[in-house]
Amino acid sequence: MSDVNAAETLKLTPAQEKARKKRGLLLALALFSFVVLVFVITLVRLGENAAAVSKSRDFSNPVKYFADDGTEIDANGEVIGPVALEAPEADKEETSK
Amino acid sequence: MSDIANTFEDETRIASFGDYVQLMKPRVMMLVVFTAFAGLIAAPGSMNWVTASAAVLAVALASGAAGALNMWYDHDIDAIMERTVVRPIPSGLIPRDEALGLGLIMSFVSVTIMALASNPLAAGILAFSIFFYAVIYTVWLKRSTSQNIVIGGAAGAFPPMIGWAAATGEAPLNAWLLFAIIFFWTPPHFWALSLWTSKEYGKAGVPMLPVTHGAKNTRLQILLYSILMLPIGLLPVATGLGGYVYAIAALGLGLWFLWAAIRVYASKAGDDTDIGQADLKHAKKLFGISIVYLFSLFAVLAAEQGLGFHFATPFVIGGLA
Repeated sequence: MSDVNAAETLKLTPAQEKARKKRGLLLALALFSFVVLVFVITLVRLGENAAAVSKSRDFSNPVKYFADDGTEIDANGEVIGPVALEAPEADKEETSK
Repeated sequence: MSDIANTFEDETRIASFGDYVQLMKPRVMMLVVFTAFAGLIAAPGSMNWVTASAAVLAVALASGAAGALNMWYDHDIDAIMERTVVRPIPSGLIPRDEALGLGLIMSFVSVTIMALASNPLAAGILAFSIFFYAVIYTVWLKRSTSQNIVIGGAAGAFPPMIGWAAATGEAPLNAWLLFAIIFFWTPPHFWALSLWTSKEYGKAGVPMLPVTHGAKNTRLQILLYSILMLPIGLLPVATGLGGYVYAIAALGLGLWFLWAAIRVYASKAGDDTDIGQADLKHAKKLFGISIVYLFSLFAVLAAEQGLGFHFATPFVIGGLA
């Protein structure tokens, strides 16, 4: 019984205490470095992916929609462009007949 | 109390950071990291420097993990051989369980970093290379066959392929050529070393070639592999991966390597005679030359691609790359 208690209250030498503290600090530093590294990699990869997505979408030349009369409209059918001055070719042919 | 306390107090030497570094086989790690870096640079395309650095760090950690797992398993034979008895586990500085834990955690961390920083292919090859070295080579081959380092050499040959895969997400023929260079380089490199350590290997029961087949057969095998190294080293020229500078370097270094191997073959290195012991200088020289050979070859390859003085030779075979 006394041996068990003795083992539980084992005292380390100052050098061993110092070594244990140093090892604990190194482990903490390694763990922290790992977290920082994962964070930085995530940011870089996100940045790369965001750049790739924006490059694939050409905002300077968006998709355009046109009504039957040639008027430019948006996706909801609202007129956004100038009204066509001339009727489309197909309409002209029908009118002449 | 007093017994336990005295046991601790009697320990005059406490494991330092350097001992943990030794557990990771730093010299092997240097070669692994360097060849992985060369593969990354030689691969086409560009990679963000942050993710590229993380990928190289992952390779270093994986190499360290494999080294720790190797030392954990080989603690018994390391304690027998003079060359390895000073390692952290047989010298009692680091407990075996700690080495195992460190190896496993570092394996996980390295593969995770590689997967995050590059792609699943590079992470997969990295994981396989750790498994290959720690299990296939260390646990299985090393103690069971004289061809241990021939097959086990694959573990050390993966790094440039990992670097290439990290940069491109692919492992094409050129990546396999870099793999082949290290794969065929490993046997003459290790057998040169084992010629002067064969007695220790024999004492530890490790069936290295000089132990099982004798020094004469080992010298012949060294020569045959060195002859094979010459064309294999030049193959990247045929695919266009290596340019003029690489071609000259591969030819020069390959001939130097071959010359050293011929000297070993013509000697009595490793024989159990006075002349055999004196001729070990040739084996030691070949061992040194083999390290310079590999470093130089990959340095030239990386420099050609990385510094932009790659000029394709007329020896490129179309459709190979």
